[in-house]
Amino acid sequence: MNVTSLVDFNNDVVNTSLGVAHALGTRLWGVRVDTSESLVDRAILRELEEKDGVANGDLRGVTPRLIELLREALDQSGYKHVRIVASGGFDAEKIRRFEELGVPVDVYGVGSALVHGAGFDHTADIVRVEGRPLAKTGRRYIESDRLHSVDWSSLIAEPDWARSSS
Amino acid sequence: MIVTERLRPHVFRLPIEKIRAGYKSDIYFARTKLVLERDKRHERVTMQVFQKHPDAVVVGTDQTLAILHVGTGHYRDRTRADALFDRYLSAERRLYMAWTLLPAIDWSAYEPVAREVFEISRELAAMWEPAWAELGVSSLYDGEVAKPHEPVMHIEGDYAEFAHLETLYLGALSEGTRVATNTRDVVAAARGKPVIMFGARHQGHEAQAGSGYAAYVGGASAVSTDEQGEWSPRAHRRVRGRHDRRDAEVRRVHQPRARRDRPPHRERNSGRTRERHEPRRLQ
Repeated sequence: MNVTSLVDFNNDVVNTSLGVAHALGTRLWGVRVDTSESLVDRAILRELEEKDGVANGDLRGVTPRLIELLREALDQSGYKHVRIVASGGFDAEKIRRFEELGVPVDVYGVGSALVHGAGFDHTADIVRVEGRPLAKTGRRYIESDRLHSVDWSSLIAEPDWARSSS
Repeated sequence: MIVTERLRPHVFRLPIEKIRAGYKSDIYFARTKLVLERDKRHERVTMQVFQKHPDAVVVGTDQTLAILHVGTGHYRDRTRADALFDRYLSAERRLYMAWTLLPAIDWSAYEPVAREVFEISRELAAMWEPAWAELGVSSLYDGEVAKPHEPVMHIEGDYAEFAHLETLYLGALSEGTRVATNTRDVVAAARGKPVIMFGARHQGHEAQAGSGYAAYVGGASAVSTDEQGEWSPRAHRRVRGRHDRRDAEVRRVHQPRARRDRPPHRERNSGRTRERHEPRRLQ
């Protein structure tokens, strides 16, 4: 099992990750950063204070800077083996931005962006009747050499349940 | 990836009685079938399925074939079948209620309820005249990219035998294609880094197996629930850096369990060097 710890409970992913890594050592596979998009992690706040409040990029949620700070802290403490899993509001655009910046995320967890979205509706039309073209306005039979003929006999072979219980 | 070895119909565990009765069909399709049967109209038609997305990763073709397999045909005595189906629905509800009473009831109390569901199903099946074998179907494979208005599938056969199935297969294709195409785009953005499908909490639980499978076809490295792996080929559960090989393999479907949350393992001693998979392109 790839033991992965959620580390945003105290809104301080750096120190929580170091604590978990200290406790688990090489048994820890990775840490998952899932900081709420309404919160600014304590590592970012600490850095802000050092810089007299001058912000550098995004502040809230899982940000490129937060992941960089986490990676640096893990590496400096000898936890180079610990992977960083980033989740929470990631979609193709946000991931692209992270990748362009070279943010050291190892794995992305994506939910909402995979299951939502419009523009994938399928439509069915009768386009031929008894071999003759017949379709509603705007539709017609379209020849395609990309379609694969379905061989029912191979699809509906003897019942699998009868010969396998795996 | 492209699933060239089609998933067998039983994988989808379809509600056979409900599909045949038209219970899940937009009612106008169910009535179309009734009218065609009543008037003995048995013209053979070609049904063409398409979509409009510029480069959709199509998923749902295998489920469509399963729906056509269990659902194409007719009841020899429609009036009696309708009456039986009403009894089936109430028997099924009683069965579920009895199940929730476990362990308070024993087999002797449960058995008559279970027997009734079984006997009704059996009687309905005996009245069913299947017609899938007379359908001529050609289709893309799950995972192939469709252009706008390009045929995804041609179904040729007696329309009265499959008019009621359109709602179901369009739903399967729309949902599978949405998740697979989204996943393909997210995986491409990640430039080969593993993407875990975490969508279970954003959908009704009934959608897990289908979405997990679609995400897998779209290139996700892992899913987050066991059920999301139910339809997926075995390779889905061996997620340790096998991206390239997975694409080439011909896959079979069998084992229902998938490991949860299992991103690919990085090589030992690789320190924190990131994985450098080529972004995977779907053909």
